[in-house]
Amino acid sequence: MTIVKQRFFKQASVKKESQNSNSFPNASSSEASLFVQDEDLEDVTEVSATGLLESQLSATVGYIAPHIVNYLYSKYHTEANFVRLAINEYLNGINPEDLDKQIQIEQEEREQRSSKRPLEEQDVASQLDLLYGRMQAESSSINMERIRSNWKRFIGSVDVQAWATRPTMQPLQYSDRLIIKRLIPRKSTINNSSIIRLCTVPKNTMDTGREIGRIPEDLTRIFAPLIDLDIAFFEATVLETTKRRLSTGDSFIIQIDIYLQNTAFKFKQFDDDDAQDSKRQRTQAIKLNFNFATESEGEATLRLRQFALSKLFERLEIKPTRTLDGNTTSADVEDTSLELSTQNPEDEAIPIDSVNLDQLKEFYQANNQSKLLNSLPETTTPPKENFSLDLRAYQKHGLSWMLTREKEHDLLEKIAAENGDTAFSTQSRTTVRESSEGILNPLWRRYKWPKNLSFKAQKKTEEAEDNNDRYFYANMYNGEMSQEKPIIKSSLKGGILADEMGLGKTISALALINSVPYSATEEARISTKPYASKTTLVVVPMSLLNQWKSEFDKTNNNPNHFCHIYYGGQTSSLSYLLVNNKAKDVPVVMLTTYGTILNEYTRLAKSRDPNGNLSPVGLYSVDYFRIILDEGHNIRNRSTKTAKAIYELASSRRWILTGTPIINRLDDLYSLVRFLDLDPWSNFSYWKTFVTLPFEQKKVSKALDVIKSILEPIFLRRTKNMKSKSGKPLVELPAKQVIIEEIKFNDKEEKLYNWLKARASSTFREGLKSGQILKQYSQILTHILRLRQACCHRDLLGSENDMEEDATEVLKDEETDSFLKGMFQSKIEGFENETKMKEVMYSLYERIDLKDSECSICTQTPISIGEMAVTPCGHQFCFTCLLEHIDFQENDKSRLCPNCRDPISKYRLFKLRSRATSHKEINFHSTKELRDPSKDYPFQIYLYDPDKSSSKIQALITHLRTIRDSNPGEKVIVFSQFSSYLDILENELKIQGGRDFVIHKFDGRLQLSERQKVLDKFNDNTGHDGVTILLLSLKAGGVGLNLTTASRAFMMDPWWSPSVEDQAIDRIHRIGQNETVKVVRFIMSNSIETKMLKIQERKKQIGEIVAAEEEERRKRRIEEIQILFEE
Amino acid sequence: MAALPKRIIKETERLVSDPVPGITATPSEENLRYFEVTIDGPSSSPYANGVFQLELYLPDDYPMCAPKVRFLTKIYHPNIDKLGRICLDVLKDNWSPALQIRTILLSIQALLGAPNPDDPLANDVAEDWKKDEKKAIQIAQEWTQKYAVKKD
Repeated sequence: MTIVKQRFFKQASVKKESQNSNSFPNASSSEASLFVQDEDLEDVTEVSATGLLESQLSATVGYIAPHIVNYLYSKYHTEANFVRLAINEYLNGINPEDLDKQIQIEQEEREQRSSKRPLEEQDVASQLDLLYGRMQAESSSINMERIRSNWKRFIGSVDVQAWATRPTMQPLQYSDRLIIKRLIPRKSTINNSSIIRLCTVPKNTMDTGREIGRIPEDLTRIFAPLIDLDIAFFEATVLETTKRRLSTGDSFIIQIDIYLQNTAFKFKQFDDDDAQDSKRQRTQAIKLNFNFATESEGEATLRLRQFALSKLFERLEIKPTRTLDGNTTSADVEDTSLELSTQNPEDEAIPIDSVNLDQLKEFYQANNQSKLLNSLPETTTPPKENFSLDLRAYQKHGLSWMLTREKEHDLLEKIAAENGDTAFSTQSRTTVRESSEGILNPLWRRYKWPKNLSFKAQKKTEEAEDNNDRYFYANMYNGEMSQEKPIIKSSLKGGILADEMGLGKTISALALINSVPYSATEEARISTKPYASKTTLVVVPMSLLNQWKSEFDKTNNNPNHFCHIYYGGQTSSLSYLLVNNKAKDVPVVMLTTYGTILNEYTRLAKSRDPNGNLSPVGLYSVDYFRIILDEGHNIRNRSTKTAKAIYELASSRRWILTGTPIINRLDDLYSLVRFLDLDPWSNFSYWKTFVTLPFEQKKVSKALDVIKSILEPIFLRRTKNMKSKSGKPLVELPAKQVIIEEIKFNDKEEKLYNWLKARASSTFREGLKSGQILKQYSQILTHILRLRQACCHRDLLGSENDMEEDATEVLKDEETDSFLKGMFQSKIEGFENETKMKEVMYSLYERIDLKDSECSICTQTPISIGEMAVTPCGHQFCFTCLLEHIDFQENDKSRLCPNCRDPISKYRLFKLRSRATSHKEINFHSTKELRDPSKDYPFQIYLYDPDKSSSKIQALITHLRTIRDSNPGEKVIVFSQFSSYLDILENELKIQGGRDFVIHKFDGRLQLSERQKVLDKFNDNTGHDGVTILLLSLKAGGVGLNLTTASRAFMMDPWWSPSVEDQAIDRIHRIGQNETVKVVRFIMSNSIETKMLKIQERKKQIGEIVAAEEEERRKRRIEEIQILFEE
Repeated sequence: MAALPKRIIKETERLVSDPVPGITATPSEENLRYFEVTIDGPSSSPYANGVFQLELYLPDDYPMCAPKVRFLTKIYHPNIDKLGRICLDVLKDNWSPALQIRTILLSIQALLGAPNPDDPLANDVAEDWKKDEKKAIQIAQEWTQKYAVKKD
């Protein structure tokens, strides 16, 4: 039967070996079989008897070398109980000389036989028949005494439409048995093409069964490897009596019952040690690393096996059962079943190894929650005597998980008991304990043996099902199968905490440290280094060092616990500090930076000892109780020195904190897994085979599925959008106040605006009259842009259009230029001439006393340099107070100095800046007595130009001053869509704010490398008591950035779409924000900006035109323009 | 209500810690912009020995505009009407933000010492004053005695 076929291969290898004078006694038979060229099928028969013997033998004694089988066969095959005899001899030890002799004989025989085979054919067949009968009897007796092995078990049936390849003598009858035989055509390998024959059952010794038909190609593809690799056994039965005898090409229906054989469960890893092959394997391994297009034969077999099995299961609709913890496996084997990659030329496309956004989203969705979490208590808190902070519910839950990951079950249960947490039932305890003792290898699925529905079984209804093993396990990723539950016994303590930013990973880590600060018991350690059993090493980026330190101090409640910062340098004393120190002052936490570790590593890596170990110096001198990597994605690139430096730190508890475990490629995760030493994934070949390669071949869901399996036990991620069990979001954002502040134009601004508006309106009306508004669309847009710019600052009018959207051309506009010149060059309100102005200005120096100055309007004393305004009469005020006073008056006549009632004007005000002015300079301009020319004044007086600023800028500055007074040290974001407006703002804020404002600017012109630096500077918590301002372009900074250190924002100009502004506000109104967010939107009253607000409202109501038709868009644009120009 | 400007707090503190002789100003507990004020009549004036009650309110625009001050005690004065309203330039057009509560109250005290019938608010009183200054002063003394002197 089928056995006949499979032995054919075994024999082939035997033959080869014997010809090679036995030099490879252990060569893997299955591999060797792959080299076999086709043999004449009829040759099979004799050999099959040895095969049968071998299977009997191996069932009893385990693996047995083929040449020994041959030897035993030839010695005993004539005896009645030859199997038993053979076993006995084998177990008693075979005389090697006999063996050699036998091999010689065999060789001779073979040579003879090859010359006279045709004559012997019949003889052999009849001999086989006899033998077969004897063996049947023999094996049934052996069956009685041996543990059941060499079994096969029903796995499913398929109905197949086969077609006849030869005419038959008679019609096929219902329930006729057919034999399935494998044929490999000459000059073909099993990979490519193969044929499965349906043969008639041999009726007598004369009949070897003849082919009557074949089964379809698709099934052949699946079945062939299953036969070749000893996985399955097939039985075919005719299901329908054919009406007449078959002619070639006729089809007929058969049922094929499929059985899995015991051999299927004896799986040999392709990379099993094979002494003779080790060299080749090594080269293979090298190839593995460099070229994945070529695969070794072993891999090919593996792939074939995987393919055949997964297809078979798919065909038979065999699905994995629910996993032990009650969750369905999301991994539908159907979805992930592999297609042969070489079948599809598209797969050869350029490998894309970076992850796109959708894939990333998919990844996070798939890995959001660890199943184990459901059984964990949500009330775990660190002991109060160590940890002062109250954790949020999900953090407590997370702590339970972390403790479980560290296998601190006793502690966890103790805490749960103390809290009276009844939810943490005995059952879930067991689940939790079991889960970490050994989890089902995540790549494996459990399957239930199906009920035997084979043709035979239905007919007979005998064959009691054996109930002891109802399940089997299969790994659909490599086709491995097992009857035992495949368990990963992981010694890993630790994992990846990947909570979204702002959910408090640092706090969670500190809670863990404080819950289990030291090793309670002597733990089994791998490292031979001295054990720093009391210290957790925390590796952080430089910028977070101080934050960690202060978080530690803030949460620490235990006076004996302290935190040490290690900058390197004290290499020799480190192990003393951590290990030998008998005193109490061993730090519980040692903070260090990636940079420090890298430095030490670089130094040490030059002189490794002969075993390749780093010398045990500094950070590498001890084995830490625990290591925590903050912002663990720093080591995402496994080939960087930093990553390598981190890998070599010793500890048995390893944690990674990161909000972004994947930055741009799936392999980023590998490095994390490598650090955690998660077996077997920390082996890069393994990772590459199961993750990288499938991903590069665009089998994304498969790769992600594997990753999910890998990460499931060690990965915890919560997002702010997640709901707690009570249905509340994990984190609630603080309130958001958005205030629209309407600002009035000053006289000149209004004049300019009206002039621009008149021009714009006439263009619009012309367009409306001629009905060709859209033809003038760009012109009108330019006008609109001008109006909007005029609302911000007149200097924008001359500037290039830097609006990142609507890139309309702004032509140089001479008309506007000359209008501006005419308007702003008149100095009627100012001084008569420059000489006069300078005379006044230089006379003021001696009047100014920086220390004793007091603003009589607000009683501020002293007035800071940047804020001081000086009137021509020499009185000093806060600039804003004085401007407020001036603006408060109804007419010029009443604009008087508050102190002396001299007339004053905005155009005759002086300001101060921090720049030394020498007495010499003053003497030069002054007619009065000379001062000591060697001295300086520590400030410089300059004439204020009210037109340099704008009403909006002044409004902003007023706000900033208020903030400076009420909340010194506050951080503020100022948004504008015009980068050149940001420039003007920067300049004005510097001039008017002086030291009160610290200004940072971030816009599209900023180089990528500089961007983070600017943000870091802005976010850095230096104790500046002024206002720290970030000027941020709406487009460049509107998305992605996290600026929660600020809680106030100012929107200098409105944008057409409300969502863009909302997004910008979300930079500060997001997770991590603890303050109420206050946003002020500046809008010039009675201007195009108020109209824009109307359009925003409209958009909110009717929705944005995103996918609308071109026609619809036009219509809406016209409507919008009409809104803009309506009075 | 907007937060109290720093200036008002400072002024209030100073009025309490460093009071002007003959003048008291106490902020109300409910509204720190509202003050109860007393001014002693200047000794050389018809208002001597009288203690005059006033109320003072600082508007939201203070110090851009002047405080609102009114006599509560009846007073016979050409620049103060029956309702207690005061005609004083620094409370009107001549207000300057450099002035303070203390300076304004001193100005009012000075006004008591130097009535100005040429710029009247209470026209009848002003006329009396112009016609017969002696008699007017006498009435003023009587009114002071009647309304502004505390009887024990």
